[in-house]
Amino acid sequence: MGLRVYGMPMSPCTATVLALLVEKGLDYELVPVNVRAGQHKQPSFLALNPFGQIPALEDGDLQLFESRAITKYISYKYKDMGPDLMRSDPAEVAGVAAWMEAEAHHYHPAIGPLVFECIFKQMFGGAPDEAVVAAQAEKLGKVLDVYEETLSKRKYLAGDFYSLADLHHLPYTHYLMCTPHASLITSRKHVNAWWEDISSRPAWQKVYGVTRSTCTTRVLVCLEEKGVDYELVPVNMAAGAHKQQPFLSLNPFGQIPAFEDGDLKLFESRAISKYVAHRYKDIGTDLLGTSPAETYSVGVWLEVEAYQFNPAIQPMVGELLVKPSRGGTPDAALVPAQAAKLGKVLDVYEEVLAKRKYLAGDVLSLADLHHLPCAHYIMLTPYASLFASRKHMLKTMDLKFDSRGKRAQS
Amino acid sequence: MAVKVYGAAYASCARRVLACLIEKGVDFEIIPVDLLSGEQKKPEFLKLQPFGMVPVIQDGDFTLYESRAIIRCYAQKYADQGTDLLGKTLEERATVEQWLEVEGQNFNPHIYTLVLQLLYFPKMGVPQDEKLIRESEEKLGKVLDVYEERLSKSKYLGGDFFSLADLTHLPFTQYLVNDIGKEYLIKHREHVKRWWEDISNRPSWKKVLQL
Repeated sequence: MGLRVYGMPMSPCTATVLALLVEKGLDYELVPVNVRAGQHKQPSFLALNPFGQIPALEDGDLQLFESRAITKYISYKYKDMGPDLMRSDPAEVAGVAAWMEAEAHHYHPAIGPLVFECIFKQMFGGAPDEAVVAAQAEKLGKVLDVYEETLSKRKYLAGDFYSLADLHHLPYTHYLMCTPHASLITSRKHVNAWWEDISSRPAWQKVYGVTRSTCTTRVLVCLEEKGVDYELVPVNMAAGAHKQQPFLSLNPFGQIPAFEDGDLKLFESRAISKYVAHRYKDIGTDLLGTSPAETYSVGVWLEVEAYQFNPAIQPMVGELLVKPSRGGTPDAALVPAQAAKLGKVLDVYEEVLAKRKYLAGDVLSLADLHHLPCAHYIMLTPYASLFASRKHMLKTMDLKFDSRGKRAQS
Repeated sequence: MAVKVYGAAYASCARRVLACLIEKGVDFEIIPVDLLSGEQKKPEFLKLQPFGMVPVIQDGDFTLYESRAIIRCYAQKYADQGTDLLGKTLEERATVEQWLEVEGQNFNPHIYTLVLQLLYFPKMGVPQDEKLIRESEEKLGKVLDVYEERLSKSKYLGGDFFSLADLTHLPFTQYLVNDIGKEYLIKHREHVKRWWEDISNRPSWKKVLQL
C-alpha cells in the first residue's frame, strides 16, 4: 500500500493521523523523525514539509503535510475502508467540516499551549508558566461550555455518529487528562461522557492506551531484536482467561506472558527473554555480552531493572495509563511518590550512562531492552520529563526507541 | 584470592550470596558494612554500589552487586565446581531462571513485607500495619499454593535437582519459619514442608547461619 507517516507517536498531531489509520484498518509504516536531534529541520524532512513540522505523509508519489489535511485525504481516498468518518450526506459532511474548524480555531488554540506548558515544556527542560496555564485553562473552559451544550443534545460533535471531528480531539485531550486540568473535562457531564466514549475506542487504545502488557512487550522486544519468528496468542484478560485453564497449565500464577518453544513451557518475562537470548545467541544481536565480564555486568543490570527500576516505574504505568483506560483516576499521592523514587534510580543511571553507551557496557544488551516497555509508556505522560531532563538517559533512549520499541509495540 | 563480600552476615541478601559461595566451594571474606549507621549510603561505599545497598562483591578488580546477579554469576563461573546450581541443558537452566524470577517477583514482595512488619518494625519502634500484614499473609499463601502444586510433582522448584531457584528462598523463609510466628504457611503444606526441610538442612545453609 505504501502509506508512510513521518513523525513520532508521542506528538499529538502525529497521533491524530495514526488514530485514523488504525480506525480505518490501513497498513502503514511509521518513520521516526528525531525532533530532539533537530531532524525535522533537516533538508531531507523539509522536502516533505517546508514548515519543518511533523507529521508528514507519503502515499505512493503523493507527499502531504498538516495533520488535518492528511486525515481528510485518508478519509476521502480510503472512504470504503473501515468506518467513513467524513460522511456522505452533504449536511453531515458540512457538520463534520464545521466541527473540524471549531477544533482548529477554538479548541486547539486553548488546549495546545496548556498542554505544552504542562507536559511538553518539561520534556525540553523548561518549567510551566503558571500565568499562561491559568489563562489557557480559563479559555478552554469557555470553549468546553459550548461543547457541553452541544453534547447535551447529541452523542458526538457533528451528530449521532463518530466522525473525524471527534477524532481530532483525541491526542491533546489525552494529554490534558494527565494533568490536574483534567477536571475541565470531568466536571462537565456530557463532555465527560463523550470523552469516555471516544477515548475507549479500540483504535485509540491502540495508539495511546496500554494494549499490550509491559511484561509481554518485554519478551516481544527481545524476539524482535533477535529476528526470531514467533506467534502471538492473545489471552482474553477481560474475560479472565488468564485465571482459568488452559492458561493456568502454562503459568500457574495466572499471569501473562507465557511461552512455548517446542516442548519447553516457560513463564516470567525475564526468564523467557533470557532463554530466547541464550537459545538464539548466534542469531541477530547478541544480547548477553561477548565476554564473561560483560555477561556478569549484563546480569547486574538485569537485576537492577527488576529490583530498582521496575518497582518504581511499574505502579506509575498502572496509575497513569492502565487505570484511566478502565475509567479510573490516578492516585494523586502514589504517583509523585513513585516518581521521586524513580528519579533517584535514574540519577544513578545518568551517572553510569555518562561514562558508557549502554547500561552494562558499550554494547546494547538484554538489560537495556528490559527497560523499554515501561519507559515507553511513561514517555506518553508528563513524567517523560524524568527521562528527558537527564541528557545521557535521553540519548540512550533515542537510540533504543527509534525502531526497537516501535516494532514491539505495533 | 578470596572473594570479598561487603555486607552483614546476618542480612538476608548477603546470606543468599554466602549460601551460593559455600555450595560452589568458593573462598570468601566478609567485610562488614555498618548498616545501622548508614555506612552504605556514604560516598565511599556508593563508589562500590551506586544504589547504596548490600551485598556487593569484589573479586580481584571485578565488582558485582544485586544478590541474585551475584549468585547467577558464581553459579556460572564455577559451573564445574561444587554443586550444579543451574542445570545442564538450556531448558533446565530456563526452568531454574523461571523459578528464580518467581521468587523475586511473586514470593519476595509479600514475605519481605511480613518480615519488615513483624521482625524489623518492632525493633525500630515503627508501628505495624495490621491490614497490610493480613493481606501479605493471604497473598503469600496463594503463592505457596502454587508452590505446593509444583513441589508435588517436582523434587525441587527448578526440577529434580537443588538449584539457585531453591537457594534464593533460604534467607527470608528462614525468618518466616523461625522468627515471626508464620511457620504454618510452610508447615501446613505437605510438599512445601518437605522441600523446606530438605533445603534448610543442607550443610551450606547451616554454615551460613553460623557465620
